[in-house]
Amino acid sequence: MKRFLSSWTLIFVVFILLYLMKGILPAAFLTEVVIFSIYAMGCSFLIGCLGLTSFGQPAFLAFGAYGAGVYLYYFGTNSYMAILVGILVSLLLNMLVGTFLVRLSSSYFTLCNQAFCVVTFFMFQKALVKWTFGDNGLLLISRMEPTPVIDLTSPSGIYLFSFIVAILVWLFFNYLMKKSVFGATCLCVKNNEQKLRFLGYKTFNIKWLAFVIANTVAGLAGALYTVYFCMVNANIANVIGAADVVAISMLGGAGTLFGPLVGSFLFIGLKDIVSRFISHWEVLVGFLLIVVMLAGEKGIVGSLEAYLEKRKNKKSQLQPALTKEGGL
Amino acid sequence: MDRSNLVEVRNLNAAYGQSNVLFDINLAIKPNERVAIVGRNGAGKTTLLKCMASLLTPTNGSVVFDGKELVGKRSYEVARMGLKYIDQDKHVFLDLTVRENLELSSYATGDYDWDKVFKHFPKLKILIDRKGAFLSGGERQMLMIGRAILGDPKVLLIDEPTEGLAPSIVDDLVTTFHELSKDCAILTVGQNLSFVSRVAERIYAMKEGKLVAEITDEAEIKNNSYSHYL
Repeated sequence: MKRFLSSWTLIFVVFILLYLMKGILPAAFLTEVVIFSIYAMGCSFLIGCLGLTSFGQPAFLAFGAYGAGVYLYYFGTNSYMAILVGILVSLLLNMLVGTFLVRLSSSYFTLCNQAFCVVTFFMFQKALVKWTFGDNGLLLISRMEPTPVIDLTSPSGIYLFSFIVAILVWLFFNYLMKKSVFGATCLCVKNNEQKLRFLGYKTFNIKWLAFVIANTVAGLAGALYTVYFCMVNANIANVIGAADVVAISMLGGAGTLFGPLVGSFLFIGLKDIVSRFISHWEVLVGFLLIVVMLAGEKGIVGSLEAYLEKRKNKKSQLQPALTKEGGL
Repeated sequence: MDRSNLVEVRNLNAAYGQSNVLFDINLAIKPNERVAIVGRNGAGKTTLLKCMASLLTPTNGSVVFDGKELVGKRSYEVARMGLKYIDQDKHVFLDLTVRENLELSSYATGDYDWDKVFKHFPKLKILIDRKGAFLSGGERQMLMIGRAILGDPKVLLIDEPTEGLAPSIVDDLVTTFHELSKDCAILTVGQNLSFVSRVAERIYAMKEGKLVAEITDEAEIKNNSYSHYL
């Protein structure tokens, strides 16, 4: 119970600290970090807990973004509703797409996701241009009306709302990855899928559900982006952005709770700060990624967690844990 | 099918690509029986177990378990039916604790009675919060068997259970196998003839993909006098 409370408390403390940074750092930067970290959370879960690397995440981001965008452009004015529609559209499409994609493993999964992303980009840019307006996109600023409780049309409102959503997403993934049997089965799929089948699990169902959850969270981030930027265009599904979210996940630590947040903070921070001085800021991110991977392949948070656990286990092994009663 | 048999393998043939590995295998296991298959490396023992657990599809023949055909079924379906396979690489889920490893099995089978696991392997109770990565070979073997007996399987297929284990641990495994067979049948394969002689009630000798002998005589088993078949 103590452990359970402590992980929840840690999440709240981290996010309150991040929220208080508003006084030091620009709110626009922090909002982008928080929304991007929600987006990266799904990708990080797929890589770290399921062992599936997807280079098609922009497509899933776009499902949510266009779900919200199309609702606001054609049907309504309420941003809460738009986010909900974005989530639902994303959920339905992921359920359908997942049925095919999770049948593939390792490199085939990665490449087919990328191919799917290219197709999605083409759909939003060319095939559905009559409704999506391609690269020009859907401009929503005049269509969004102030919302009750938290006004999502104001920068401070969307900032606060993104924080609340991020905390809920973190709590959900904290439960999923650390407390649920489902999270444990995901890890086992990554470690040894065949062994899980020996225990009687149909691993397709586990992979499918994990895919749907991870990518619906990406869709949620997409819907938040639409409301935050008051527009959505086909570039959101561009495959060029696919590496960013994977890099963030790896940099922070795939499969860790705070890895996506740390990765997003570093990535967007470097982009904002370094790009003022160097035009090719991606070079620095590339080097940083190589250094972090060489240091432990677990990313910043992953390496830190591994170090702490090693210390804890060293301590526990020093104690005489085993008695003769143990047998075998 | 003989009604007294729990598992019957009939005219089973298997191949890896173009290379035939098993030739017309016929064997039977009765409820609560301890059966062993012995043979040299490459004789086809593991392949036979894999075919029985539906990890490998035989080229022809059948595997009947509890009156139901297993060929064509998925491995998770076979496990759910009550035929559990424990392979030789002693792979437990390294990122999970002993408790979580057991929970996984309980969740799949709906059987949360861990007392029977701790009855056979009291050490697991002490190690309950230790991660799989920090368990020794013997402890991993205990955990794998412990996981498998949740859900009350009718048959355990155990591949090379003594491989890499210290002699004292092997001695304890003999007792454990005798205890386990009160609740389920055990088919084990191995090259450790001393272990097999102390565990098995019946032995099949396997050579070059064929079952060359069935040894049922207790004295012959105890004296290892079947080794000339290998």
